Amino acid sequence: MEETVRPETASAEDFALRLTLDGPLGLAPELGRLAAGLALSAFYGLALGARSGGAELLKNALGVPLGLFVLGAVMMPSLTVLFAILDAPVTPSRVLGLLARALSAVGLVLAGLAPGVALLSVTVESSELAGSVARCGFYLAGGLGLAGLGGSLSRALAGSEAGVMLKGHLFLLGYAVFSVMLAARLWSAFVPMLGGAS
Amino acid sequence: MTARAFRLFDELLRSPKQSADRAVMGRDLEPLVLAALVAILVGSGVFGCVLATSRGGTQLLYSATKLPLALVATLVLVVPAFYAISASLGRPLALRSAIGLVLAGTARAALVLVAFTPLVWLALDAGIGYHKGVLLASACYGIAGLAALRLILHGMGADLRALVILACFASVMAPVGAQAAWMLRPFFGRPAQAHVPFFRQRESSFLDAVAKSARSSVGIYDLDATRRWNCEPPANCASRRALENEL
Repeated sequence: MEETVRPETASAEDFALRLTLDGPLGLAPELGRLAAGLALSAFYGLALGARSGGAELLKNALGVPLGLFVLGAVMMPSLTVLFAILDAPVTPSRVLGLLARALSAVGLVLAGLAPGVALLSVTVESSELAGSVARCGFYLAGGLGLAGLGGSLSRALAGSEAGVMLKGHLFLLGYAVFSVMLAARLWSAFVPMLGGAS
Repeated sequence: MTARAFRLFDELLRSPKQSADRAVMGRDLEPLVLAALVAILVGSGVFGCVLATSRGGTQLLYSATKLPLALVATLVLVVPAFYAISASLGRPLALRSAIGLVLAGTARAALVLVAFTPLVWLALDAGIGYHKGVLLASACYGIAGLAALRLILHGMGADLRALVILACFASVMAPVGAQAAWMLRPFFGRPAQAHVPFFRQRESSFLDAVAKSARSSVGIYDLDATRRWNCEPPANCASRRALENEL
């Protein structure tokens, strides 16, 4: 069989596509995707830590992916149990895959925001304003990841009964609000720039 | 080569969709990138030069250099965000396509700024004053920015999802671009100033200035400034603050 020559742009497209593709990949690739997303999110921590420099660079670079990881670890079992109670056709492996995709998308967006946030973090005089800039970046990335997760879970519910679909969508709406509060709490605990553990 | 560049400038202005498609497909990208860089350097350089006509002299050269620098610095800082946001919202682009699209959009904005240069020059020459000059320049920038976003919108598919991508990207580009420009000021310069600095001493930031102005507008004044300048808010401090924050 003739080997297809891939254009040079394909590899870059594949990278972002691999992190955000909505489809079952298997356990090892899903965990790999999650690890890549967590690693990328560390760049955002570096951008935040650049304001103070020194050890703060490392502390913030570790705090951001740690917050993301703990968020996923907390959400995974609760989402699995709640979908099971609803008798929704969403398996634990599917939940893991969708969570991994959402968290890797958050990590990708945080990495993309890092250069701009680094400029603002270093040059803004007021510490409160710098903290607000950091939070805005988290809200944007988290919002995009949440939107992707909600859409994927909604599509996963598509084949179920009307009653299950309705309850599932209502549950997703409430869980979205809860996950925003949880994410805000975790990042403020782990990221020194937001007043977390230093 | 010059003729080709002018054809690409014409395409950027008349057929933004065509330029956007060229960038997204990665088709014949090198001439577009080169033409875009020339458009940014020349277009924003000319606009910067016009902004400095109120001061003249060395300020003309400085502003003609710094405005393109501010645009290019902003591009470098925000393209990764655009790449990531479009991927997370289901429109993944190759990195070179993302760069080409944002570069093409910025080039279109720079060409639109060229169109505004006679208006800005005439207004400054007629003596509209510093603050009105800043407002006029900001309005020109805003319109040029919309022209850039229109091209990028075509590249993303011109539907609701593309609008969301654009809104998220604009929310990143606006503060980063404003801060990059703030760090490189002054662009206008003061006629009475004997020495024209290339950079002003780092004072405050764009976001700090906006936050302070927002607080002042609702009666919450900066007590440090009052003590520093020995003035009573708002009348006396306002003029001192304007000098500190001038562009």
